[in-house]
Amino acid sequence: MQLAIGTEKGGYVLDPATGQVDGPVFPGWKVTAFGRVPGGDHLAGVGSNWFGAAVHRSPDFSEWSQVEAGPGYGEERALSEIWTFHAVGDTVYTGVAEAGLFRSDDGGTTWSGVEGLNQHRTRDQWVPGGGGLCAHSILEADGTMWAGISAVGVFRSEDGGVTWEPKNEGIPSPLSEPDAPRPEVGYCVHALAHDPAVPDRIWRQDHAGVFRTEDGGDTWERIENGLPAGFGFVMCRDHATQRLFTVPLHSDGNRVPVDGAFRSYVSEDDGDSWHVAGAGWTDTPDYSSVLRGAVASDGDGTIAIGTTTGSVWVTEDAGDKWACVPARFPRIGAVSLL
Amino acid sequence: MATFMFTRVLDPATQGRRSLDVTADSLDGALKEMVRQMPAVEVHLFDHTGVLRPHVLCFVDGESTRLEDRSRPIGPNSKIRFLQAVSGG
Repeated sequence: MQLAIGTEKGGYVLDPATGQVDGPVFPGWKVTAFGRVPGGDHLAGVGSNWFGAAVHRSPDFSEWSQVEAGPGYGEERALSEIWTFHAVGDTVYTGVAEAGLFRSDDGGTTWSGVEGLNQHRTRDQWVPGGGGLCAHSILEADGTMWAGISAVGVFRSEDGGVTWEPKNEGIPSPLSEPDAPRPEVGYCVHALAHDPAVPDRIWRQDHAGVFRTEDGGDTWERIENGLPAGFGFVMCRDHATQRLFTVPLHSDGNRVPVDGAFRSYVSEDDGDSWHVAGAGWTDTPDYSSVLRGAVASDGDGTIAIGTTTGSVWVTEDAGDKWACVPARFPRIGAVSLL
Repeated sequence: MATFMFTRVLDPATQGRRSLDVTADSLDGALKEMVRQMPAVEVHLFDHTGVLRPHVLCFVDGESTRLEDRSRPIGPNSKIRFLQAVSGG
């Protein structure tokens, strides 16, 4: 098993068993997302604060070329970063900032906007948060899609991505006035996960805490029993064991582990309760945090977590034992299993 | 013949190519020919409205320019250099 590591300064391939590192690819560029065309090429989201962002493609994760007809809004608005890729059948989607979705039906050669979301009737109310205005999470099952947009909320499409509706009932209102009517958007989702076998049960790491829906997003309930804090950016499901993982951070104003105790927390009852996931964590103070794209799971026991301080933690037994790989990288924003 | 020269930072977009010769009489013509031959570069040099990105420097025959006057003529030995950003920390 090898890991693709996307950092602020290039992409790397890491063998977690030995710590051997190959790279960098895209030296000096931010590598913000990894993905794969269904049955085909690898994809990478690559960007720069000065030179903008683009999608790159590779048959072997070694030789890369930039997609020339990549996602973009034309003159309407800027595309500043590639945040995620998600394959559905023969289609691959990407979520980007400024927030929106694009799809490719030809293996990543050309991309078109998901206009029902990108031109949503609430669009003029979408306001960037601390992480900007980005579409970072995509879920799909049986033609129903969900998209998570930071500082905006979760949207659901029941017609394969043609039309979308906000689904955030139960998430605290972003407005401080107690009597103000709930706005349709303005809910800062950080990450989404579900089990395709029970797709309407979705777990949500939100700016406002950890939540679960049993009805595809119509209503959300808070599930933080046993967590040291509700804030964070991670939500990850191991399908084989039905374990759920997150990495709590102190608060939105203090985005580090509580008391410097860097730990993943696990729920073995679909989010009803949480506890520290297994063993192997260091007692040395560690104030690293984990960004939303820096977690990867194969759904069968292997989970890799990259941190803002460049360390990589891996479990191969669904969270019973964790090990920190003996390699350090620049700030990690994306992790993928190869 | 005019020659474009690219900072190595742009290697992922240029496939490592650092220079490109084009035949054109004007800066506009040269830029269009450059984009035609190396389309992946365009999104990195220009923003979504077609304006030179704010922190990208362009020198035409040694003169720093924001490319406002694209009708300016260029000579057969003109050099058009895109440099790495030097602002932003």
